[in-house]
Formats: sequence, C-alpha cells, structure tokens
Amino acid sequence: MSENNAQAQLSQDDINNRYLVFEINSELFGVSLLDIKEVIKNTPCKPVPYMKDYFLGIINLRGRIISVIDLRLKFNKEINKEKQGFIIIVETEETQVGVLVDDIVNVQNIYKDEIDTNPHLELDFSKQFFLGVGKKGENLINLIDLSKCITKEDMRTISK
Amino acid sequence: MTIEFDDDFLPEIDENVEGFETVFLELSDKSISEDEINKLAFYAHNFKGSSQIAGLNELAKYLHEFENILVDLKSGSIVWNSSIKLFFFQWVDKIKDFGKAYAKKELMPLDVDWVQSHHQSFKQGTVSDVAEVKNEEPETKSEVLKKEELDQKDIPKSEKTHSSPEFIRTNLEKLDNLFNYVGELVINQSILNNYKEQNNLNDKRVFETIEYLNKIVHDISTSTLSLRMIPVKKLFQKIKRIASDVSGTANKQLKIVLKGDEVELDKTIVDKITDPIIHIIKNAIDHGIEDSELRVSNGKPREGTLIVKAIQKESVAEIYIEDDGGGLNRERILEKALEKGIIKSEDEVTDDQVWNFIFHPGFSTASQVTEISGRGVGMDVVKKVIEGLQGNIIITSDPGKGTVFKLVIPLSLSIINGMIVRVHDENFIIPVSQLVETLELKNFNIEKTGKGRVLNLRGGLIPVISLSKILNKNKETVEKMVFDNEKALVVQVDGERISFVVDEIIEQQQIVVKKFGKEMEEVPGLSGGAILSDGEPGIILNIQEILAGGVRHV
Repeated sequence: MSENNAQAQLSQDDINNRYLVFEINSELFGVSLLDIKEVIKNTPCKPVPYMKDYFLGIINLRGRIISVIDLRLKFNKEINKEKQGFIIIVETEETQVGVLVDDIVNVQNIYKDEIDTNPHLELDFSKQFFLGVGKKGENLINLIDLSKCITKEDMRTISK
Repeated sequence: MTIEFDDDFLPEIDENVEGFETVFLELSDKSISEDEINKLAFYAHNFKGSSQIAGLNELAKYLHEFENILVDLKSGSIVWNSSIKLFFFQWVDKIKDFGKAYAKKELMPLDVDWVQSHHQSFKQGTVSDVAEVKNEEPETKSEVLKKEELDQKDIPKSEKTHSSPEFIRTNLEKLDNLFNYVGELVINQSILNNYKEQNNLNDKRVFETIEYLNKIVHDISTSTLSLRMIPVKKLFQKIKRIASDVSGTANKQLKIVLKGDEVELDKTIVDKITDPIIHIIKNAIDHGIEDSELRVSNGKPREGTLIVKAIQKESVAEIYIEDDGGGLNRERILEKALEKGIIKSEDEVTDDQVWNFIFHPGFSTASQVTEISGRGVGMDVVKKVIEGLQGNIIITSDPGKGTVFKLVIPLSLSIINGMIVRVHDENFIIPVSQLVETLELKNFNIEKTGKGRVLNLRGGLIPVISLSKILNKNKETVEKMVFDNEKALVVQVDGERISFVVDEIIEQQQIVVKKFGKEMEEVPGLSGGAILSDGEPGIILNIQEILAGGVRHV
C-alpha cells in the first residue's frame, strides 16, 4: 500500500468519527457529519396542516421543498426565544429534512473509546435514536441518530 | 448463442408492433387491400433488417415467414378471411411478448414453424373457422414453453433484475423548437453580460432584453413540457383492439367510435390511465351493452355503440366513455349497498350517489361473474388511480339508454393550473382540474340543517364546508351564516357537489409541482408543493381526498 493510500484510509477513519456538535437548551448533542448535507440560518417556515406540533413546516431551499422539524419541541426542551437558531439539513436514504436547533458549537472527532453507549442517565427523549454519550474533557455530548428522528409515521397526525 | 442486448432496439420493437397493429385494426373481415398489404410488407421488411443487424436471427425468420404470407396474399394464392386476421393479431402479440422479455434482457423463443404451418393451411384454405385457430393455441404454447426450457441455458441470468429504461417518441419539430429557444436564451444572456461589462445597466435595451428573456423562458418551459406529452392515439388503438376482443368473447355486436385521438397528455398520465380506461370499457361491454335480442326487443339497434372520445380543455383533458346499453341498475346497486352496509335502509340517496357506490372496494353487481370484467376488484382501483392523478370521475346513467363515464384528467403532472386561495392568513393551491365552479357567497342564502350549512345551487342543496376548519385552522365554534366577500369553490366528490369556503381567491396560475419529501408523502389531502412567485413554498391541496372523508385523524 502506498503512502497516499494509507493517508486516504486514515482520513476515512477520521470522517467516521467526526461529529457536528450543536446545542439545545444548553445541552450538547452530536450527530455524525456523514448524515449532514449543510447548515443554514433559521428561516420562517410555511406551516403544513395535519402535522404534529414539532413539524414547523416547509421551506424553499434553492428550489427544493424541505420539511423542517423543531428538535427542541421533539425533545421536549424549553425554547429559548433569544436564540436565532440554525437548521441542519439531514440527508437520509429516503429524504432530506431540516432540523432546527439553538446553536451550532463545532465539529469534533469523537472516538469509539470516548463513547459510553450505556450510560446511567435519564433521558427526556426517546431512546430509539440515542447512540451514547461522548465524553470530551468536561463536556458530555449526547450522540444521536437524526435519521431516526424523522420517520414519516411519526410526524403526521392523520393517515389515509 | 450470445446476444448483446441493446436498449436502443426496444423502441424499434415498439414502433414496428405499433405499425403492424395500426394496420391490423383497420383490416376488415372480408378483404385486404393491396395498399394494406404493402404497408405491412414495408414494416415487416424494415423490421427484419434491423433484427438481423441486432443479431436476432429468429425474430428475422419469424418476420420473414410473415412476409411470405403477405406475398401469397398479394398474388391471390391465399384468399383473405377473418381467421387470417385473427392469426395476425396472435402473431404480433408474440412479438410484443418478445419485446417485453428483451427489455428484461431475456430472449424469448419465437415459433417460426407455427407461422409456417398457418401459412400452409391458409394456402390450402383449410383453416377458415375461427374456432379452429383457437384450438391450436394451447398446443403452440406448450411448444413455445418446451423451446424456452431448452434455450434457457443460453440466456445470461445475471442481469435479470436490470430495470429497462423508458423511451418516449417525440415529434422532431418539438425538439427543434426547443433548440431554437435555447439558442435565443444564450444570445440574450450574452447581450445582458455585455451591458454588465460596459457598466451600462440602465440602457433601455437592458429592460427590453429582460422582457424578451421572460418570453423565451416561458417558451422554453412550455416547450420542455411538450416533450413529455404524447397523443392518446396509441391508447385509443389499444382500446379499439381490446374492445373488439371483448365484444367477440362476450358475443355482442359492437360498433366502436373513437374521437379526439390527437389530444396530448403527459406520458406518465397516459400510462397510468390506460388500465382504468380499459377496465371501464370491459365493464361497459360486458355489463352495459345488452344482448342483440334484448336490444331489438327494446327497440334499439341490434348493434351496440361504444364511444370513446377525448377533448382537450385549457388545463385538463376530458375523456368520455359512453355506451348505449341498459344503464346502471339503481335497484340492484342499492340492494348491494345495503348488503355491504354502505347505506342504511332509511337513507335517501340521489342517483349520482348511487352510481358512485360502484367505486366501493369489492362492489360488484354482476350476478354472474364473467371472465371479462372479473370479480368487482376493479372500480375502486380505477377511482383511486384517477384521483391520485388529481383527476375526477363522473358517472351519468340513463336507464335503458346507457352510461357515460367522464374522466377529467390534468394534462400534465409537472405543471398544473392552480387556483391560489387564501384561508385566514395562509395561501393554498388547489388544482383547477378538481373544481367545478366558484361562487360569490354573498349571493346565496345559507341555511342550517341537521348536518350543517347548505346553500341552494340551481335547485339542489349542497353542503357548505369551511376549509379553514378542515385544515384545523379554525378555532371559532360559531359557524358563519352570512358572508361578505368570501368565495365558495364547488367540487364533485362521490357524485355529490360540495362547496367549501375560502376567504379570497387570489389568482389562477401555472404551478410547477414539486414533490414533498418522503416524510410527507402519505399525508392525505396534501399532494405536493410549489414555489410561488414570491419565492415562498406553497402547498397543493387534494380537495377530493380531503372532502371524500379519506382524511382520518389518528
């Protein structure tokens, strides 16, 4: 294996361990950078009937219509009106969805040995999208799988 | 044997099959003209050539044998009769199947001997009875199967899951137009850039160029859209073929009249409405048109008539399927509806509502389930498909005189004619294809009944429903009885007219439909989104679905 290849291998590993860290109600959350398409500033959403409260509505993202959910409402967190907020555009196999959070903190490497997948703590949100707690010095970061927060069955209040 | 499957050969198959069928459908039972023979020979010869190039030798032989029959027909050594016509259809069906298999990268064997043996018997004039031809059918099939088993070894299996690409045949003129417009676009863009570089943006000609660009962009969008549009001609040919097959099987005398086959619809829409229309036609022939004896004794012409016509309106196409049969049987449908629990015995129902009961799943009034129109699994699907396209079905039926199915279908799924309405402080888009008419509410007296508000529209009472309430916007409990400037939009749902109130009709405009993400796909009542002229996203409502009670809160 040439040196270049080895380096490429290494950076691939790096990407897998890279997380976007954001803040909701002063708590830190992390999502894998691989799931994220882009981050935009908060923008007004057009409400959609028949959807749950945390479904904020739709926005026009360069000619594409994207649904936006409020992760603070979804996680039963208090909403800090002073925060302007950011929308993280998450890409799953099926769709792209915007997720509104209070603030973007940074991008960090969190390695497997820094993640506690079975911590003793009480979660105020559903366990199904919780991956574990990343420990970075003083900071505890809740690592979550955003694609599991945006399942279609979950968002609407009606069905056919 | 190795064959390279070439997707480019698929349209070749389709075109030739279509060519053959067009001629076959015009053939009479009594004679074949030299002109018709020449046309068939032309297709057969060209197709044979391209098959050889594609390395499909068996197909080429199959076509060659057909050519031989044509030669004998021309020279008179074969005398034309209806069984030859029937054979022609069976013959081309095999090529169709061959095409389907080819699309899946499979090679279907074609039975050249089968064509040869028919050729011989036509020559001797032995096969003159349709029934005899039919009897041969199973035998040939098993032969084909056997051959298939043998040849399977040679077929590459790895690519069986490959999905074949779709093709569209388009008028070259449409492409030329598009090219011209794009050329104009490029020229005008460079003109604008030129002004920009000269820092001369206030020149009067800049504004003129922008105006001109607006026109070009509009032309390009119409022109691009037109590429997806195909005439319903092919669909009509299929209808004609199936109608004549079905009337033969059902032993009914039938005249088929087709009108408006030049009407163009989006290819996807044509593909989707094909099966529903065929289903309606089968039903019309099987259950609608009476037997000749009954027709004569009722003072009708012995031969039944089935009219299928397409009419192009501004943003929709209307397809009418009319038969002059016995009409829908109100009593029988009511009986069945009671049995199925759709209505209660004390319910009063209008004719229109009764006709719409046939769209309920599993509803079939035919006391005898026949081979043709099946077991009542169809009409609910028909309705679902049409409404899924934002279209509408309206039935009118006259006892003893016949039934008309009117399908209202948008011309395209990508650009629709939308009515933008305001409900409270939000705008929604409603496809014009779903609307029957709009009303000024202040001109009507709203009355209160047990079930809610109604208004009297030309002698009929129709419900008045608040759209904001349906969309969960209205927190007020008092229902308004007197309106100022509110409008009502009238839609037809399940044979019933319903009006719903909106605060304002803003405008009617062309809407480019954008798909919602998967997460909103199954939300009933919302059919998609659009970017409105102010750059804001808008929601396209499927009013039919909302009002038909398809919306259920969970």
